[in-house]
Amino acid sequence: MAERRANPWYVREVDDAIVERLATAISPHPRAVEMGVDLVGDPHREDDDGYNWTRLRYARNVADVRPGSVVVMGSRVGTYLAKVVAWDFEVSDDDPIITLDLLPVTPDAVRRALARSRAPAA
Amino acid sequence: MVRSVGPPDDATLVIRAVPGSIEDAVVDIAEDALESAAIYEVDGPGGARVALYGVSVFARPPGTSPVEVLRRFSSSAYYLEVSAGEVRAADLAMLATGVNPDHFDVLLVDGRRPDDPLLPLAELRAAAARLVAVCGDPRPNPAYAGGSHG
Repeated sequence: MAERRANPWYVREVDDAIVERLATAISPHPRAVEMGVDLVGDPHREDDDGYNWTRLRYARNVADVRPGSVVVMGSRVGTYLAKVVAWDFEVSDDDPIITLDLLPVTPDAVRRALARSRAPAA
Repeated sequence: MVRSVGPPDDATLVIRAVPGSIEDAVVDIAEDALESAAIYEVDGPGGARVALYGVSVFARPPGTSPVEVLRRFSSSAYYLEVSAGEVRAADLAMLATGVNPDHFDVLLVDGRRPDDPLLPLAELRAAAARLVAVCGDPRPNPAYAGGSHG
């Protein structure tokens, strides 16, 4: 479990070799592919430190969900933006728990903001 | 981390944002409890170490609007809410878990040891259906961003 830090930029890095090993071993999760999201996970979940969590096997592409990444999560209740804080190997070397910080903004709101930012000043 | 045995009976609990159907909510809840039990163990309500067949729920402090809890679920037109006392009356135990003082786990199953084989999803669906049933009809989500509640 990743202890929640006062610094919201905190990330527990993972070695490239571990990412490569798991990217080779884990196939894209069918529901993530079907939903067009990086990761399937339920936004209701909260761990001891107040983080959301899911498992790495629910990723569409393992390399896209390494710690530090911003990801789109999908569930039956919608899509969410989250920052991947850590991979926790306590229960499995092959399917770590992914610890996530749900971002308190909607994907649509971010899309709109980014679209505005592309418009050059007149 | 278990803070206490659970919320007071008069606490209002937001159980879940409702996806497309009540049946989907039952499946979601059952799957969450199974995922949780595969990972987490806690000191259960009886004191023994148990697998955590838990579902995260959020207490709504008295006087606060449901919007404050539901804003994160703005894609869902409806949600489920019930008092902690009604959950207990349905023979479902609860634990106060984690650092968030408003966070609780409803235990779909209590008393399974951490080294017991995981229960089949069908068995958890029955317990999840019991939890959903005690909530009564889904309520319109005041934070819903999709327009009409249809």
